[in-house]
Amino acid sequence: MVANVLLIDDETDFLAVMAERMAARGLRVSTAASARNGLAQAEEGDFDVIVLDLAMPEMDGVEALRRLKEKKPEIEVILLTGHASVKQGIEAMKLGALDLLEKPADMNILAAKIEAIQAKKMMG
Amino acid sequence: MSFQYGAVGEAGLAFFGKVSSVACHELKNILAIINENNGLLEDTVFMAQKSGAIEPERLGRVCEGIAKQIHRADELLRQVSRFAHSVDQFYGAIDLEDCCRLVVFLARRLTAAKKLTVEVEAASGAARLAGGNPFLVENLVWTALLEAMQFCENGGTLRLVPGERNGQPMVAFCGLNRLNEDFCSVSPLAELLSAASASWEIHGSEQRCELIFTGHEG
Repeated sequence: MVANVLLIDDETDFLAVMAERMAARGLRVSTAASARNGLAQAEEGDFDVIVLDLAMPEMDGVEALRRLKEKKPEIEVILLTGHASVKQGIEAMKLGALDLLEKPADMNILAAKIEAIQAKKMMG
Repeated sequence: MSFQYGAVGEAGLAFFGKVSSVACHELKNILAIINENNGLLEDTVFMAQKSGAIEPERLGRVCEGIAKQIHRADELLRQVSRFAHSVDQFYGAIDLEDCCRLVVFLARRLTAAKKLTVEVEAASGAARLAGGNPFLVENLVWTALLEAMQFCENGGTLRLVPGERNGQPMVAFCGLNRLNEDFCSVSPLAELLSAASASWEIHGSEQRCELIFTGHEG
């Protein structure tokens, strides 16, 4: 079963290239250029994994994660960040984030994490 | 000039730190995009090795993507360098329009958080200080901008209009549609205003505030 992934990042150029590379790895990818739009898509859609930027201008990733986990606790979230502090990382983990990767991230590592989530979901 | 830095030391350091951290964040984002474009190239090479076919259209897009980010990084570094050098020029003539454009550029991420469009109009009159501390004036315009932003609705437009009033250089912050006549707080600006010999006037009915360099001739 193909993993359904939602990418949320305010950098639209980043989103476009990430989506293309993930699609080339067989993932089904949707994108959102703001936390607000991402949350709306997450509520309506059926996503297995959300890859969420931690630092966005309108609403940061930690707040988005909090709101997301309130409504859809079953969705796994991987955070991407340019400069995560230890405090932010701990807070994100407490809120239920599965992992936190620093930008620039290695696509193969990210894809492997998504595949592992999907495999675990299929076994469970 | 050392007195000026002493008077606003904490605010000045906070300002410098904020600008630096925002610029670092943006550079990280730029590197991340270049990294993904590089990854896309690697993917393309991998596929070409397997199929023998090269997709010129995809390669063209990657080149465009990288060039765009290089241009973006170059502009960011040019402006941050200009800002950094304002600290080592203790005293000199200051063009308020240039100063406003620099500050608005450096504050883009903060104004974007409010989905605010910030425009700097071409200066009318002598919007120029014959002599002053560039870093102090940038700090003052930055703080005034953040103060003014509070009185703009999300998604609105804030206009900075450099000019002069009664022969004194000034910057008007226009479009503050949540400003009312009763508002009269100057606390975030007080120390900076004093150090720069300036005043902050609020015109609630006109939905504008004015930063006037009262101690300077235009």
